[in-house]
Amino acid sequence: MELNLADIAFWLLSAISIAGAATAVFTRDVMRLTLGLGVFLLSVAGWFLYFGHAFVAIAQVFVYVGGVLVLILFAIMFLHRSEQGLPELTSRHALDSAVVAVGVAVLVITSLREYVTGQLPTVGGADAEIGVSLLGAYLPHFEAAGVLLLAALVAAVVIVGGEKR
Amino acid sequence: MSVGPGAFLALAAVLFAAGLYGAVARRGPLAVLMSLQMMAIAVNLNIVTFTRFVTPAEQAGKLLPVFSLTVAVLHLGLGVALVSGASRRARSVQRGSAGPAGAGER
Repeated sequence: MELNLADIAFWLLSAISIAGAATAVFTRDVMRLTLGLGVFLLSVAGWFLYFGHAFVAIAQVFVYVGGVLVLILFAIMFLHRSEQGLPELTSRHALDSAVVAVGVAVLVITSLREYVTGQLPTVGGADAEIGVSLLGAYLPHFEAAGVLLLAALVAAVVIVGGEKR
Repeated sequence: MSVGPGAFLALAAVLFAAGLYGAVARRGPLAVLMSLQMMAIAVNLNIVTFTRFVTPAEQAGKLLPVFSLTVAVLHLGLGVALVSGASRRARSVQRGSAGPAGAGER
């Protein structure tokens, strides 16, 4: 089997993704956990680029790496400051959880035997069309997502800061 | 591209299972939230794979990951708000304890 550039990118991205995910899942140090998650999130942005979804890749970097990671770091620093030392992240059910996770992985992978095959057409549509369709045919969905975000923002403010003093 | 869709779906399955392991095995609520995000991202990877290999001409395939990503991040934001709100009432929040865990330590 001869390797072309797409294959190399596939295996490299796979290795980075799985390494980041494994770090995030298995490590006990909370900073390494966050770092592993960051590597994983960036590699997923790489996957989106690999498939030609530049818009989704940029959204992934902005939302996840720029927003979620900072939010999680902030929460870790904020929440565990009053605890003694590092937060407790050790697992009590490591073996059971591993059995469940490996079982699900085997189940899904074995069910993939009859996956769809076929030729690969090129992905049509530039990213400018995404903006046009977001404000055109998909405007109700876009607005619904906006309303959902607003509701979640208000809910978060109520949950965190709504306590009467 | 000689790598077929099965490889991508298998990778997404492995990432989903890793997230599942973390969600079940971890004790810290933030780590559980991160693992749930990992599962959501694996699902997003599946969406992109199917878009690429099944309906590459459809515009909806490019928009669906954006909406899915929005909802997943929204869940995480609410989760972090819940965790921090709960930790203001109790010193430590631990999964598996119904009441405010560690409240008696004070």
